[in-house]
Amino acid sequence: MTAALFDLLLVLALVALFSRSGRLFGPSPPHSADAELPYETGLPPLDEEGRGASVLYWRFAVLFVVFDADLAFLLPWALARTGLDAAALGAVTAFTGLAAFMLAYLWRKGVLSCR
Amino acid sequence: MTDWLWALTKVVYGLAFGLGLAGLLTWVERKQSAVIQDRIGANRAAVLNWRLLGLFHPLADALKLMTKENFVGRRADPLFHALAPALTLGCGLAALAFLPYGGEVELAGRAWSLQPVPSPVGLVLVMGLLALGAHGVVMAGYASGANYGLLGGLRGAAQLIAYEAGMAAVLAGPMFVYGTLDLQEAVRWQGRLLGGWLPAWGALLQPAAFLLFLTAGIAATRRVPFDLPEGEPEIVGYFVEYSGMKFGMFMLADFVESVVVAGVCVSLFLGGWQIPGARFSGWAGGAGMLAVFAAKTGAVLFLMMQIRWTFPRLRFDQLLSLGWTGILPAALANFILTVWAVRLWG
Repeated sequence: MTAALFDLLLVLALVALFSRSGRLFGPSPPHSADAELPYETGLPPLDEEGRGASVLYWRFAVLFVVFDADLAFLLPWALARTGLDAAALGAVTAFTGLAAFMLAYLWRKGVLSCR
Repeated sequence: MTDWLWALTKVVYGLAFGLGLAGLLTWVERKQSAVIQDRIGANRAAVLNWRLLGLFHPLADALKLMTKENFVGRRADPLFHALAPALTLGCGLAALAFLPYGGEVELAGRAWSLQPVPSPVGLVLVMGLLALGAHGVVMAGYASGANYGLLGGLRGAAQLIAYEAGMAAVLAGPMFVYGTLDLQEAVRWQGRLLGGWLPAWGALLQPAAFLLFLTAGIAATRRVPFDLPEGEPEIVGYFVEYSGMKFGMFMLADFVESVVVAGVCVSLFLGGWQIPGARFSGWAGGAGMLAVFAAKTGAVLFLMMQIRWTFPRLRFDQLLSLGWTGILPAALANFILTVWAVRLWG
């Protein structure tokens, strides 16, 4: 427990030092307004950012929420290794099979394709 | 008092291990690529005319990055802009404390564990910290207030979640074989010999999981051939709006995460700090365990670098379909086959 606390404190200290180093040791020259524009083409940006973000990403975000919540439950099975009777074996097979079936269904429906 | 000092020493060792190797990796990256591409590579930084094969370059980089201007664009969200690199690097650094750098040493009438933070759920903690670090990538893209930054952040999010889901399923297989989620226990389990001569390393018992984890691990650290969130040769990237050490923190986080992934890989698949047939005791044994773990981690990192400079980058749709329709189904199949194999042949 103490070690975890030390870890947290040291990491926070390091990260704080790195984050502040620009302000502590770096120069701060005055900028023209143009210099503070986002790094793009040299022309003033036409849109607010994110106008053209693809819906593709949203689809994968939803998929992730479904699958990761499912797959996280595979890990605790490791602790059941010694006491795995026939019923438990059936349960874990059904659970994994269901996840695989979901994946196969989405694949078939073309949700996993990026085009 | 002794306990406190020992805990502090171990945590400092873990951080030094990660940051030291990460610094070394920036040098390896240049030199190894130079050797592969028939160039000389970085060799200019010198102390007292002493160049040491360019080994001073990481130091020069750190000094340069730390004395650069802290630039925040006008459209950026200052709070999240500052928080993003801190989150990414902080999570990577914190994960270092959970790696089993060595077993236990009997000395002065007590056992000294060489793992900074022993935990029965060490693997879940490390995976969780890596996943939390990925939030920094998305946050940076969002907070930059720039189109290219946002695009990089979105690519990063899509990539990381594609491989995050796969990684949990991949690791379920070997963890089931070891019957634990404790990294140290997993290393000890691999100390046995199969048939009296073959080490029971995860890479031999779970070869599919080993390859899948290595692939997903490289993707999770955003290295070539999976470097689309950064897009080194283009200007698309979640950190285009970052300067100085804040940019350096993202760069460093990539390398620190590589060290963490290599460390987990060594612990779960390559026998951790163990050498088949060797027994470690006393101070020399402790140093031996640390050296073995460091050497194996170095070897995995070398392999990752070799992959980085050998393979071309994937297209984004290839990358997503490799994660969702390659690694994920293969990992599910590996898990269920493992469960049945353990049940049938014990």
